[in-house]
Amino acid sequence: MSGLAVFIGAGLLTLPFYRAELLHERFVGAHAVPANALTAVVLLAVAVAVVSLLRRDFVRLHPARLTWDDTGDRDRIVHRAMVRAWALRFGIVAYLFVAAGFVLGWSGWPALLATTVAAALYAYAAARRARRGEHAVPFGLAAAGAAFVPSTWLWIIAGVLLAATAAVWGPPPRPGRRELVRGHLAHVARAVAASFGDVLSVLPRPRPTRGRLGTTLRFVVTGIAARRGMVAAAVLLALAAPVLHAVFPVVAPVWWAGLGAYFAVLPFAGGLAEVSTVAGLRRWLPQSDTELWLTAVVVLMVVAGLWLAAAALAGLPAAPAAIPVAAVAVARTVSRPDLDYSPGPTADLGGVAMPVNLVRQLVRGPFLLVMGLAALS
Amino acid sequence: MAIHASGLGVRFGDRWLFRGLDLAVEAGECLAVTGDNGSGKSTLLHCLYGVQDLTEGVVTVAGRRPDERDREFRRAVSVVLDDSALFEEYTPEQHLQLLGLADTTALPDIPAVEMSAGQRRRLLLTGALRREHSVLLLDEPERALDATARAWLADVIAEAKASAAVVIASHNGPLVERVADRVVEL
Repeated sequence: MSGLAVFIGAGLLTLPFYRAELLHERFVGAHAVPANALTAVVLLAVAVAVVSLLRRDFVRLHPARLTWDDTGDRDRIVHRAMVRAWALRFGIVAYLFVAAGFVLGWSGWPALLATTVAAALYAYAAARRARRGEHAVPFGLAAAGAAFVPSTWLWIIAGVLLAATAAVWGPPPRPGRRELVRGHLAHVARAVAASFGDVLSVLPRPRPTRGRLGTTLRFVVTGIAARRGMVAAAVLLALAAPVLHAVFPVVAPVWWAGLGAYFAVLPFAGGLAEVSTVAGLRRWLPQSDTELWLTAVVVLMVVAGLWLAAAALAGLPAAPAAIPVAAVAVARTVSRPDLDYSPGPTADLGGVAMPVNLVRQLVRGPFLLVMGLAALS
Repeated sequence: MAIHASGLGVRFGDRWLFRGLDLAVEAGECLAVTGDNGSGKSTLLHCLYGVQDLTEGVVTVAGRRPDERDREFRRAVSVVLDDSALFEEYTPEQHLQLLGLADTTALPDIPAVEMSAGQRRRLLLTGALRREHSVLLLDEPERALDATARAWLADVIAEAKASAAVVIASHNGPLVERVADRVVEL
C-alpha cells in the first residue's frame, strides 16, 4: 500500500512541472490571474510554516530515554529536531513556491524569494525561544498575502524580517523533563491521529475558563471560550480563504467558505468531542444527547457565521448557506463515539484494502460536508 | 431490592474472574467488595453499571437491567469508576453547576488541571455523592485520599447509605469496617 501511495503522491506533486497548463485551466480557467497571485499564495504558506514551527513540537524526548539514557546532551538533541522541523516546513514552502510559480506565473519572484528567505531566518531564530507577541510576524505576513501586496513592498517586508531576526536572536532555553515528556505525549497523539486520520485526539486542550455552567447553552458556550487559543488559527484561515478564492476562481466560493468554516470551527467543538468520547465526563451532564447536540449545532453555527463574516471582510464572497453545512458537519465529526478498531470487512480499492468500518467512522463528518457543499455549488 | 443479582459470572478467555455470585442490596445498606488485585472488584462494579457484559447470570439495579446508555438508569445510579474524569478547565464549583447544584464545596476555587490527585478524587466523590441517586457505586473511593479525607469519606458514605443502596470496592480495611454492613470477598 505504501509503495502505491508514494507512486500516486509523487505523480500528483510533480504535476505542476509538466502539466502546468492543465492545472491552470482547472483552477483558474478563463479568469485572469490576479496581480501578485504568487506573492499571496507564498506569503500565506510562509505564515502557516512559521506558525507551525512556533508550536515547538520538536521539544520532546521519549520518557524511557529520559529514564534510562539521559546522560547525553539534551539541548543538542532538541536543536537537531528543531532544524529538521524547520527544514521540513520550509522545504514544503519552497515546493509550493515553485509549483505555484509554474501555475500562476512568476511575477515579482526575486522580492518574494528574498522575503521567504528572510522569513525562514526569522522562524529559525524565533523558534529557539518563546516570546510574547511572536505570532505578530506570521499574521503580518498572512495579512500582506491577503492584501496582494506589490513586490516593492516585499523588499521592505524582507528588511523588517531581517531586523526582527536580529532582535529575537539569543540562546535557547533549556527545556526541562516535564516539558520534554509533555512534548513526547503530544507527538504520540499526533502520530496516532495521523495514522488513523482521526482529528479528535489532536483537538486543542481547553484553558481554565470562568463562568456559570448551569445550563446546556452555558456549558457549550464556555467550552468554546475555553478553546479561545484557536482564534488565531481561525483568523489565519479567514485570511487564506479569500486568497484561495481569488487565485483559483474556478472553484465556487461556497467551497472555500464551507471548508474554511469547517476547519476554523472544528477546534472549538472540542468540548462536545470530550463528552462524546469520555464516558467519565459525560456523566457530569444530565442532559440528553439530543439536547446537547442541538445546542452545540446552534452555537457552532454562530461561530461559523462569525468566521464567515471575518472572511467576507477579507474579501471572500458571502456564502451564508455554507454556515449550517459546516456547523452540522463539525458536530457530526466530533460527536462520534470513541473509535472502534475491531476488524471488519475491507473494500478493495485498486489493490488497497480499505477497512470499511474504520473509514465509515472517520468520514461521517467530512462526508456530510462534501455532500452538502456539492449540493450548494 | 435496589440491587439484585444471581449467578453472576464474567470470563476472560478461559479464566473465570468470578462465577456464581449472588448479591442483594437494599436502600439503607452498604455492601463492600474486597479482594486481591485482579480479583474482579472493578469488573463487578462495571457489570452493575452496565459497561461490562456478563458471561452469565442476571442482575437488576434500581429496578432496571444495567445499561449506562439508558438516561433513566444514569439518573438513578451514581458512580465513581476507574474511568471517571474531570473537565480540566473547570473549577469544583463549575463541575457542581453541571449537576444543577448551586452550593460551593470545601475544595479550592481552582481549575481541575491545577488540583492535586487527592483534591481531584474528592471532587469526583462529591459529584457522585451529591447528585440525586438511589444506588451508589464507588470503585476504590479511598484512592489518593489522605487521612483527613478518608475520615470525611467514611462520614459521607455513612450519610449516603441512609437513602440509597451503596456498593464500594475497596482495599481499605478501616473504611470497610466503618461503612459496610456486609462484605463480599472475591
